Amino acid sequence: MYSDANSACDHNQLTMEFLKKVADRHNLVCLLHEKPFAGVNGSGKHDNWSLATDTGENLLKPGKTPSQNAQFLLFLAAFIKGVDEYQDILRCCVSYPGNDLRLGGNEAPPAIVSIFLGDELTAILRSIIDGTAYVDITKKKLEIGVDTLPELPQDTTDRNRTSPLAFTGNKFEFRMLGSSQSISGPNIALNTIMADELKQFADRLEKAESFHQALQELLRDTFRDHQRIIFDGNGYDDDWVQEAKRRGLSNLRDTVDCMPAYIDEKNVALFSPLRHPDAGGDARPV
Amino acid sequence: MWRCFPRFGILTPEEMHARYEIHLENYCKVTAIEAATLRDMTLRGILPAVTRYTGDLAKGVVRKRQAEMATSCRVESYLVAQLDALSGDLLDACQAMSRALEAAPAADAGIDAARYYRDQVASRLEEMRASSTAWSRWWGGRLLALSHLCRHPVLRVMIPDTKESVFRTEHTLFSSTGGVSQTAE
Repeated sequence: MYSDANSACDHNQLTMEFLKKVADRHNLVCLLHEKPFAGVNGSGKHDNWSLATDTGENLLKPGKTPSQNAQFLLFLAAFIKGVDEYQDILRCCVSYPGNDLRLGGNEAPPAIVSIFLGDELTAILRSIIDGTAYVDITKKKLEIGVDTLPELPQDTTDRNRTSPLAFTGNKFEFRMLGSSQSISGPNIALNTIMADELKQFADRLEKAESFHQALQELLRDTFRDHQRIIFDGNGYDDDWVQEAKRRGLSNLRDTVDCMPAYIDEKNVALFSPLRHPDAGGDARPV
Repeated sequence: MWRCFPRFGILTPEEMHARYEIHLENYCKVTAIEAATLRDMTLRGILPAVTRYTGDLAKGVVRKRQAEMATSCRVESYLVAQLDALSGDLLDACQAMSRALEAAPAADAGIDAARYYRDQVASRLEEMRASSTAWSRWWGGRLLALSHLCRHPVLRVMIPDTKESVFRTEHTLFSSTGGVSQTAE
């Protein structure tokens, strides 16, 4: 089940309104605050995000052999590059006082933006970076311990609840959103970032003499240059803060630290209107 | 390729600056409202109730002594001393919060105002919450056995470990009928 971003934003907004109205009708109060009670776990949203073609084909569906799925790997690379380059604006679009009480605490994703890929995809990326053949060793069966039940294939994406951006099968979950906020801002950021990255990829691939070789080089370069954003460990661990610092990832701890990202030159340029080439423009900000 | 994407006319530079300013102003205002609310809840609800309760304890001591009972009144003395110290700390925190709010710059004064609210106001919110937490730990951990205390209309909401109390806190904070002390029983 999915819907396009516009509809999803509307549905979420309506759901929040209904929660409040129904609670009120029953003489209750629905709190959408991120942290109404100190000492009790707060509340947030997971924004399940992917890209699809106009015919409904999910571009983040890895298929049975993701290592050979060039289309999937291309869009994955664009996502990884985009999140790495615009980690500050992604952090910024989920920042406000209520969410400051969650992010960075031991109940919500940390304030550091990173991507969880899971063992299989991480191994594929490693083989592409190193130029080695990928050996599929990660397909595991779940041992349930009950003989009468069949073996179940284990989901290789795992469920790392501490990761701010986790790949879960055929989509990414952006897990930093607060419970009271509109999901439109984060989706605007994700979509714009992806548009920017895919435009760069298209420019490079369209000029290439050998498409397949250019694609291979593009994937290798992208994964190599942006692998610092990938982290499959425990985001709650204090060691991660030190490791993220070593990798040069930003750690914007609260709204006040985040807000300058809105007026950062790089981010303003990302969102600004561009002169459309079809209209004789040069694709620079107006 | 360009036909695949609409032009990136998502937000103009002016709209980005507007978001920056609006979010900063919102941060200041929300922080100020939360700070003033916590201070007022403390001054109008919690501290008067503690004063009333310690007064009841003192009256109990007087009555016991008037009855010439052979009693040390240790429990009452202990409670009064603890509540006096804790409520004194809470009063200090309230007064510091009031001073910080009075000295605050205008909420629309940009990043400097937001930094002030974070460093001078939000940090005091944390101090007051910590003080309340210490109180509730002390109260919940040591005095739950004295069940009549748990029925006290205000102090009940300070006990975080039972579902009912949490619910009552919620109800109390957002009750349309008013004050803290009216809703707990």
